[in-house]
Amino acid sequence: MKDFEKDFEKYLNLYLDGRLDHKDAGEFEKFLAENPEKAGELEAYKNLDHTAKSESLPELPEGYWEGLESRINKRVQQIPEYKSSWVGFKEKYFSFNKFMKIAASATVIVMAFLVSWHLIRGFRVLDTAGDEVLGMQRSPAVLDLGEEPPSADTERRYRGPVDSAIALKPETVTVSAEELELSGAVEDEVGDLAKTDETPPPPSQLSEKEAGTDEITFEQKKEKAMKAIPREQADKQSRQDITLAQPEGEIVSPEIAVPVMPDSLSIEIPRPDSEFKQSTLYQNYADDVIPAEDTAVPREGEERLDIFEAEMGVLRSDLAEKELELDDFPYLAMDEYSFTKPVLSGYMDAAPGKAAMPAPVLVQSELQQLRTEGDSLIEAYNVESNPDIKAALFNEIIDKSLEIVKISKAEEDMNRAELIIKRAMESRLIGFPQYKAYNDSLRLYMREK
Amino acid sequence: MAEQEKVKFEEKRLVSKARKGDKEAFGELVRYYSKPVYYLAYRFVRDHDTADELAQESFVKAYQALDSFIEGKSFKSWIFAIVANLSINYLKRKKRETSLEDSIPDDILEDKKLASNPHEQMTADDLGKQIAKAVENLPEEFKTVFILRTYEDMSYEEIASSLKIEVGTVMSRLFRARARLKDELKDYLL
Repeated sequence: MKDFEKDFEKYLNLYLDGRLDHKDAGEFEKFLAENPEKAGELEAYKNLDHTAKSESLPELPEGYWEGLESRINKRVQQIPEYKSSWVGFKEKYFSFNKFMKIAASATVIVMAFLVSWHLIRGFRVLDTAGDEVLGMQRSPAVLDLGEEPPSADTERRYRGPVDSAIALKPETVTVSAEELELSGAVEDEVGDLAKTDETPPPPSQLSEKEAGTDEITFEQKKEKAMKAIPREQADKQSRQDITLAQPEGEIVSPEIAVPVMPDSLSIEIPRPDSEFKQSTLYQNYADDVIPAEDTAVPREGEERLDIFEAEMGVLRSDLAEKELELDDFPYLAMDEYSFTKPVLSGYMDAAPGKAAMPAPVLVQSELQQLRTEGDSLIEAYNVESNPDIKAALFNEIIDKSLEIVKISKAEEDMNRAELIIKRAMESRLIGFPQYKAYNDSLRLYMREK
Repeated sequence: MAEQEKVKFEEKRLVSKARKGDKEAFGELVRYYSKPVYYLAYRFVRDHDTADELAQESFVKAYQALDSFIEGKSFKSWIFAIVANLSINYLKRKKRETSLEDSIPDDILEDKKLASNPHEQMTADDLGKQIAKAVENLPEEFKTVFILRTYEDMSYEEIASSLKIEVGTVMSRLFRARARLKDELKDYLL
């Protein structure tokens, strides 16, 4: 029941304007019936309204309305032709002639830009590698050959975190292809890659200079590769996981079979130092190795590396005093290194009779931890059947393997990480740009060594 | 209702053409609305010549401002808002230019005499004039809402849309305007 007494004015007006619903109107009428003085007020309002509406307006002479319309139209005619602002804008800037001029200018600018872009960068087969790699054939995942690789949907879902990881500390690092190539990235892949039906000219058909192996430059390699592999073939090859042309039963030298690589790449990759110094790993290392007063101030990556090198120098001299060498300890060169056998104490034991290394134990312990974590991830990956979770685990494994390389800077670790990254790309968990970025990161880690 | 819909459709078509610069289409809109526009202006200013001038001015303003008209809205509400604003501006200007005493026409002074004798026999038209005078004395914001609601029979929502105010504000102003008028005319209304 509404409080008509309290809000009488409001309900009176709403009732007068027909704004009360049927039920409320009935209740209000009942209220008025019970309160004659209030009903009197309603009558006063009604009278006011009715009288106001019925007020007679002045009589206007015949023909007045036509005259008013005429005067209005006359005044309107005197106004410059009305056009909406959009119509005016279109006519001003988008008349056909002007549009043609603008379009022609834009075309010239775009063409000039494209020509200069290609002149600067060169025309390359792999320019669209990122997209093309997506279309390549699926390959089974490395970690569990019996498993189906993750679906395209999974790939899309989990490429996000990879991109995010890369974007965390974006820093554009230009790495020349020559550096990449000389570091062995391409040749390493060559050795692992599958055969194709494409048949480049055998080495015997190449010129003597072309057949040379030691002094060949990147440009020469590129030129040779372009000669050896027609562009269409090269395109196809790039889609097939950079599988290189190789006739059956005949080994093509890596210098000839190298795919066409860009002169330089400008890729956003995560800088190891910036991330590393934030990590628990570094903090533990800092706590153990760096004096307490120094850890109060966060160190930049360069400083950390200097300290690490200094510590290693001290270690080497300590070992030298004991007629030992660092290489006596196989944790940096484990032939049987495996994610399934990562116990660093075992590595230490692999050199029986040798004294334990004091300082690297810190590094080893961290490596042990990382490798144990890596093992757990791989184990989980092999057990898990949900493709989404498997994809997530694969990404974790990539991250872990990169982190291990960051610390160990060991060739074996790098090779292992490369393999994992390659298989991630084959399984379409990551695209080619990410693949390149990860590999570049690995090179950088190793260079810091 | 069907007729209303037809008018609405026709109005929409004419406005659309007028927005593209079609003065003949705008002339059709003038033909539809010149009468209500004039009377609305008259309700505000109570002077034929001024109402005539305001009606013309309203259409000219409307033509010039067609670009700001939101298609789909009521042209009637839109042009009524223009008329109301022009009328209120006119009354404010007039108020500033003349003293209160000078602004009251002789016939109104004559009517005041009538008002001072409420018990005399009054015709409905006389009462209407009394109400009109009382409305004139209302504050502008109350007056506008009262006129649009009472004389033009516009809904709360239409008034709110025209004057760009909230519906609650319309209600508040309308109720207060009525209350004031009722108090002022209490001797005549019952």
